[in-house]
Amino acid sequence: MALVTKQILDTPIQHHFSPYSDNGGTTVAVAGPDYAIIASDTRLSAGYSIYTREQSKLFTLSETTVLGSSGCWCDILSLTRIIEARMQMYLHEHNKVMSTTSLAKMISIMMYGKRFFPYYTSTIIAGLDPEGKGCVYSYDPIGHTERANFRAGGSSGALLQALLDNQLGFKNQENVDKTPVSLEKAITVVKDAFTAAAERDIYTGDGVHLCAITKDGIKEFNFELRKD
Amino acid sequence: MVPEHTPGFSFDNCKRNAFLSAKGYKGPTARKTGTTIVGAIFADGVVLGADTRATDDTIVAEKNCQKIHYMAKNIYCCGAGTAADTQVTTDLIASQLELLKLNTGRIPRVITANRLLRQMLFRYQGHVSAALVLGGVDETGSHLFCIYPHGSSDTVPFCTMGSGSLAAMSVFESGWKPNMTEEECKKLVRDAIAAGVFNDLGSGSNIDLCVIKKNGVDYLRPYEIANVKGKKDGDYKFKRGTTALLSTLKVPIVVESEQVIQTGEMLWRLTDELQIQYVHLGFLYYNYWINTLWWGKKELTFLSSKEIMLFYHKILIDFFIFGLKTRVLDSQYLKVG
Amino acid sequence: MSIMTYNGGSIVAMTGKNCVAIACDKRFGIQGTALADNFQRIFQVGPHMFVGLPGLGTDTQTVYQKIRFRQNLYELKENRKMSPKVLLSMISNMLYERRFGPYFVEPMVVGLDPETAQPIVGNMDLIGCVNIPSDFVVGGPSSDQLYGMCETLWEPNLEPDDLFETIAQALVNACERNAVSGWGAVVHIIEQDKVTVRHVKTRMD
Repeated sequence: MALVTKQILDTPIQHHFSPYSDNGGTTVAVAGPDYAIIASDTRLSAGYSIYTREQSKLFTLSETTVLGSSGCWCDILSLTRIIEARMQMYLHEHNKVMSTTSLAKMISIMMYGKRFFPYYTSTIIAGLDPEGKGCVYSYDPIGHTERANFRAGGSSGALLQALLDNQLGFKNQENVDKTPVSLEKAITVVKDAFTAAAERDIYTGDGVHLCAITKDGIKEFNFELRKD
Repeated sequence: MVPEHTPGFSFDNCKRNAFLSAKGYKGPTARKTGTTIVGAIFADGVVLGADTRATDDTIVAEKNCQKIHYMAKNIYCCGAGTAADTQVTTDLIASQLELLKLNTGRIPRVITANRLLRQMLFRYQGHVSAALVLGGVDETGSHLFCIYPHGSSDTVPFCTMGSGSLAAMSVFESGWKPNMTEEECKKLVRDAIAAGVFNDLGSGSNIDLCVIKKNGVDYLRPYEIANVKGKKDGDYKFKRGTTALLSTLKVPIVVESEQVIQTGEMLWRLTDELQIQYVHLGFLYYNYWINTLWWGKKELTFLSSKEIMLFYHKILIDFFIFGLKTRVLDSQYLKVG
Repeated sequence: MSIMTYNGGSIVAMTGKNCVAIACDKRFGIQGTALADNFQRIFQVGPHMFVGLPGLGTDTQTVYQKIRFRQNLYELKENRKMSPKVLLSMISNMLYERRFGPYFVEPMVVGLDPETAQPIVGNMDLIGCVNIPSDFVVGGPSSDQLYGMCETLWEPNLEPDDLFETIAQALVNACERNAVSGWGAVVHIIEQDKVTVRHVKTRMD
């Protein structure tokens, strides 16, 4: 008996700490010439169970910027709360609302600040830049950022990015008019993208929450998705 | 010339695959039926239910797969776990039950199916990952079993299996009662599957039911289309010529000659081998005819060579006619068989 | 890295109006290193029947030869052509025999039924679980991207020329978002009276 105990104590015991969970969800954002749209599904889940069917993953940060994020839900909440606090501080210090481009950089720096204990999120922000053009920035969990015209992230990111390349970027198409799509057309494509994702991705479903950002403000839309 | 085929599994690739996985190259996952499957006994029989989703990790691999498998005319079996395992296991036992039926001339019992499935699963020590709900009606009454991948089984009045089993069981625990009517039971089973479909991410799409009673089976597929495919708003048809081409090769399928052979009865499509047997049959009939009518013998005996020689010319003529006649006679018999 | 992405190569198949299509990219590589742009993963196994074998390159070729051997034997013994559904269940049995030491391929079969000319696409996982849907099947490392493309682009009763555009766009755009797929693509459109093979222009990076 004593021998056995000794053997166990001789070897170091490794304890696992797993602070992350994947709560699923998909975010899609599109930047147009004078608009930006961002949408997320409204399913929050873990493993094989659904936590709620009506949790939007969009956060309105200012009149011209909306953030969408999926991944570890507690990290998303924490991240967005700190972003909001930093925006308040910026407002009080500089007496102006943070622009989408400045915010994009700040988020990147904040995320890299936690390089070795990152926020486990797939984050996208959409908004209007100081010139009034639509812009979309996407992030990896440790703050790599890139400005794009359209981006899909989260559990259906792989399913939808190729589709957006084709339908909004007109990739691999010949003899077609390649002028950027209108707001209405972009909303249709984003909605159909979610419909497709809900068919095949078990973590995407229930509904879509969509924000269309123009110089006139933010307009919100809600669509239904399949619930199984 | 053809290599001998040994029955059972082949382990040829195991060493190679183990080597690859030791190098860090993971093999792909087999398709799972995330699944909610249930069964419940009511007054006159058993109702089995299943969803229709098959998953490959977090992707839906199949939206309308069949999870209620045929075992015998009076026995069906729902399968959860690795999709291929549930399919093959149930098929294999179904064929054993059919042979048993033919050998004994009796309708197989549900306990027999249960025992066969358990023995098969136990033999593979849980590596054949099939979790089953077996239900049926035989001369001893209605039976329901749930069988676990390692080969154990429960005898129960209602049961659930698969990733949605907890959601479905909550419906059963609150709603099941003994001696329900068929409609009550169908409704309960539908609710149980729907609970799995909507609350378990591994289950989804439609609801299939199978009602087994003493006088027959109602296989309802789908019983309910619980989720319809999403409708698209946009038009995604491309203009012809959108895709850039390097080369095009058209290979016509040319029919060099065509010959139409009129076929009537099924009989005429029989293989040559069978038709030769008909000629033999014709010969037997001919013998019988000569024996009874010509020689006045009552029992069927073969003619001696001398007698055959005697009527050789007649045989030559009548052989063909009788061959044809027996074909017509026998066609009645064969079609039933 | 998974064995299924070791050599790359994705396949997609779709049904149309009295026709079927199967398409795949032509890349063969060892992980990130591309080695060839003419690798064959789609094989013709009848006048109206093709089989696609996404997965590990060596198993693609081995399994193809095993399929051909068994199919030839069947057609000699039975003196009739194999139908797509028969081929599917034959491959399924062959793969399930190796349940505990599988070949790393996820075969798919497309064709027109020899008797009814009904379009059929079907696929299976690596141990032979058959799936015969009414719309499309995908396989290989860019199957996620293909699912997204096909779910949106596919619609029922596409004419052969429209089916070509749809399947080609689905494949080319999906492969562009996958590091181990691409390097050219080939599309086969199977109709009753002809098979059209088109090589599609793609990015070569």
